[in-house]
Amino acid sequence: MGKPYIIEAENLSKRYSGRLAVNNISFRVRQGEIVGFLGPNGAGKTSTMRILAAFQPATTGTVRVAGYDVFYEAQAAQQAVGYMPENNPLLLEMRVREYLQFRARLKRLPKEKRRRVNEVMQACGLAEVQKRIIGRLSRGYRQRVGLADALVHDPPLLILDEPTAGLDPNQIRTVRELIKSLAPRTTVLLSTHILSEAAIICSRIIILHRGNILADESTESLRTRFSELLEIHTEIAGPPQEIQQALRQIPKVEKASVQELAPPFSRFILRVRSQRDIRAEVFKLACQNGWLLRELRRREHSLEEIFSLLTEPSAAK
Amino acid sequence: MIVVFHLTKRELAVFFQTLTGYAILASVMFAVGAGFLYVIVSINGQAIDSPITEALYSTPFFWLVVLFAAPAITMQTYAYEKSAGTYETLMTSSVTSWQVVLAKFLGAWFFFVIVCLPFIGYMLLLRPFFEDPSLLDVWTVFSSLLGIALLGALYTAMGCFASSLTHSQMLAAMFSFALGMSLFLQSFIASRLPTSDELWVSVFVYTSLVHHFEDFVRGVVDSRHVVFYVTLTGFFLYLNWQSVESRRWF
Repeated sequence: MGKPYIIEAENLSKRYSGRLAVNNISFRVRQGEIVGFLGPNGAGKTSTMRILAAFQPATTGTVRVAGYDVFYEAQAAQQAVGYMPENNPLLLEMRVREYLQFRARLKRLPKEKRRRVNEVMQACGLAEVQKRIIGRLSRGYRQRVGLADALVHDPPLLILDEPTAGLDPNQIRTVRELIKSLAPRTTVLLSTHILSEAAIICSRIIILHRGNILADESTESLRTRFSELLEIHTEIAGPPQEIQQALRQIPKVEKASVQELAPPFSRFILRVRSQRDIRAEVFKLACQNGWLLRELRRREHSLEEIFSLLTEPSAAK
Repeated sequence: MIVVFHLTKRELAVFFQTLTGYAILASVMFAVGAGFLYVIVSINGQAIDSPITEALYSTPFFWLVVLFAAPAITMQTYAYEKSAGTYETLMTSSVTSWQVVLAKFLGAWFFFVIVCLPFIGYMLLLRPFFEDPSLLDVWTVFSSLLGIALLGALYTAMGCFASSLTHSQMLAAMFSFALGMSLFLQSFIASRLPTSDELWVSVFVYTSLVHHFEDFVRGVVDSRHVVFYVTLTGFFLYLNWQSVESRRWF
């Protein structure tokens, strides 16, 4: 704590011809944080990021990036931001090195810092493709070119709109590691609609839904908040009513519902409010009664469920 | 200024890195060549009383090139970048709207001038066959080229403006063609009006592109004509700038 704020957004709204995309949100990001914007498509992530990158103005509200107002001091603010838009648009007919040099010149990287182009190519693993035409590169490489472009003028803040969209698992891992390696020198704000991704990379998560901030807290506290609410799925052979009764006796189980499957098995879904893992107890219970158990798993909450939990506070309590 | 230079360089390079540029070059060379052939055949060894540049200008191919090449060259300037998304990376790399407008215009304009260079080639080709060299004076060729460059500046500024309004290259081309065609056709309104209507005749003559162009191909560089073209170009660049800035309006 105590580090200065690099993003200060206050009462930000964005309206597109009558449709409200961002609804009066405020948030701040401190230097060195990795913050994730999490939300489904149309939640207002891209709109907010475009405002932060001074591509489009906010309908109302103010944003300061690195101390500069993004509307009145757009050039200075943009100098402090490395922005990678959605779908990572690149000039496909250029060669990697040529493109990065061109971008460095546009971003007014001073001459004596031109070595920076080589550095970011090294850092992003682009050295071996530097002479190839971007349009002929694989998606993973293109994504790295986009990242290198965002990084080339050594900005204190990176804004990445869905940096891992459309990549295969290996490529996703490389990009994640690259982003993580930038902190704490560079502050990163990225957007994603995958909860687990935000949980892996980010130190703080801002959940957006229909233009509103539903949650803005550290990944750790979000995780504990939702790990308290678990579902245990189990399939046990035996008399369903009896088993249901027995399962309800396990401490911290709030609800146990039955689904009849092909006999003799039934599926039981247990709702638990505790961080304690009760799977061992379920197993013990089955053993004691001589019931056959063929499935026992803990199900994490999907993003949609977390949304419904967040939008209906009664469910979370 | 250095940013404008780098941007212009890239805008110009695009024409040589993609097939579109070569397609435009080839079609214009074909049209200019056809015009040249037309002139040679129609002269057919007879004496003519006007400079050869004027004869070439009076063929339909000349306006064909200007009217079609300019929209084809400029249609992608903004529309393509907008649809590909690279407009967003461009406009967030701390460049100002003016720098972008100027660079895109300059890139397209330089390409237009390059495309028109075969015109000089044909003149040089003819030169040895003239008994009276005054009919193919170097200055006349130069002033014709200046005229073409100025006319091209107007048409590329118009095309860039049209392109900046839309995401679709087709729409951009159609709009800039419509703009260019109307400006061209209004040159002929004056000759249709009754001569008694002096005020309107003089208004339409003054705003006529053709009227302001004819002197260039005769070897006369009149500052009035230069001012006319430069002013109109400036006007469309201003509109272009406003349309690029408009993304910051709401």
